[in-house]
Amino acid sequence: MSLILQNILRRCPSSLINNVSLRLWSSNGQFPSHPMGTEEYENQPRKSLTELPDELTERGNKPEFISGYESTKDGWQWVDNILFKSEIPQPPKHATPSGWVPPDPILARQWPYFVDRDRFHSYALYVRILPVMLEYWLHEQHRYYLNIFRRRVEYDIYAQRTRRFSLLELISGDIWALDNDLKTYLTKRVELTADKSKELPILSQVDEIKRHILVDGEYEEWIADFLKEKGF
Amino acid sequence: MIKSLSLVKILRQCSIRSIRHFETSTQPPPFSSDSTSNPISQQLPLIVNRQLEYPHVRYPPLQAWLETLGQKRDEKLGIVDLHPSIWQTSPRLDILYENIEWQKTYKKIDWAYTPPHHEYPSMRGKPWPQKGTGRARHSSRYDPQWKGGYKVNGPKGPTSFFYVLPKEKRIEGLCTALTVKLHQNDVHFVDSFDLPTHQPTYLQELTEDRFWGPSILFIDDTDIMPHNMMFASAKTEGFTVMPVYGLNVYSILKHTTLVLTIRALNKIEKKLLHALNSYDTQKDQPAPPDEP
Repeated sequence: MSLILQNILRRCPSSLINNVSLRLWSSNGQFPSHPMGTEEYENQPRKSLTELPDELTERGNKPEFISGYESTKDGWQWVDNILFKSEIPQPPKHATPSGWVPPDPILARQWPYFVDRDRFHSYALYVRILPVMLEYWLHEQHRYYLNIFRRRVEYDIYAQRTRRFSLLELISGDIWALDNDLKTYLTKRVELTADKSKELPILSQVDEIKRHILVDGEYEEWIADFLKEKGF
Repeated sequence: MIKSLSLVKILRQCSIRSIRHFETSTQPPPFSSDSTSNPISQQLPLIVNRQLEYPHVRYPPLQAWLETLGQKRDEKLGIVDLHPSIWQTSPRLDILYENIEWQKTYKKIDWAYTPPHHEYPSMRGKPWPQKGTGRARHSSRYDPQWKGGYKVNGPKGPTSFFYVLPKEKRIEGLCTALTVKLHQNDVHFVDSFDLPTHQPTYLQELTEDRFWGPSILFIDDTDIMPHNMMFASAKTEGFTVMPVYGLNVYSILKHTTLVLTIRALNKIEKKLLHALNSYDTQKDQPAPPDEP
């Protein structure tokens, strides 16, 4: 055996050498070099790092607290409050301080259209944001069908902001009648304010297959007021 | 023309029967799906007491006839209430298209494979020397420009087109397909699939008389069907029997008519209404219920 190995063996405790079969690589090429895999090594009781020392485990003695405690199963309601539930609770039948208003079915039946609420009893009103369009050249003007659309886009470019649309979904009945009523309401509302955008007309897109109306501009609050007036 | 005449006859019969029974009885008994006796012997007409969950704010329940397969003669047993959220939605063609495309493509696996250059035989050596022969200069026999050569960016291995359409779109697709079928007079509601005989000719002649179309989709709540029904539908081309958990947009639109039992209708409505009116995250979705 080499000098190095002799030194190692001299420094190892004798118990280790006696217990574990140390077979290191030697000039003969003996195998294996590590006792892992041998019966003696594998059958030893393993100690994991996560095991606590015996003093802290509850094998026999429970740890003593300064004040006594008792375990009960009362008070489940406090846990139940926090748990997630798929069932959506029914809302109150009166208006809440946040501005939520319950639907009025008697008033809603008058109109030739109907705007339903989503499963959370709120209006299906959403914002759609698009990046602002780049300036387009004169020779591309033939692309845009209406001049009024161009004026809306240029106003957004002037104001240096993204294009904002308001989307109203879950419409049934006569969509075009709703579109007309919505536009008249919004133009009236815009005239009352002192905004430069009141020079611009209210433009909207009606999708009959998807049953939604897309209004050019951020008019969600006013559309919500319109829906509240109609009782939807 | 013929269809309208037969319908007129049916309505006349129904009205006469209903008047006769109203004279004799004050109130018809409620329909119980557990009753195995012949429904014709009960007092008619039966108005199936179906309490609809989550009633719609604006639209009242729809109504449809309740029919039987127990006899060839087309006698209506009564009226069934249907929920408007499922049976009166807007015909969203885009959602129907998406559902059908999903059903077609999510099972698709493209097995095309072109081995790359390292899976070809060894390419050491020029086929012929650089100069001298009158032929073009080549470095290997299996380059892409050769016939039988490797492909550089060809299809590699099985590619799957699996994806799962969002839950809301699948639900909306089912509701749309059902509304479309109902409003085109292609849905029929039946008390049960109990047939008097196992002969397939019975069911074929029955459906021909009632103009129920060449292909029919029968839907029951469980996947265990009565023997007569199973035999008759197996021997007939175009008749498909299916449990509620197999309902899909493609099959609904593929078959010309849809025949549902009351138990299947109850199960479908319960599941769809729960899905439309509750909020389940992916983690919190409950396990599918196994009701017999």
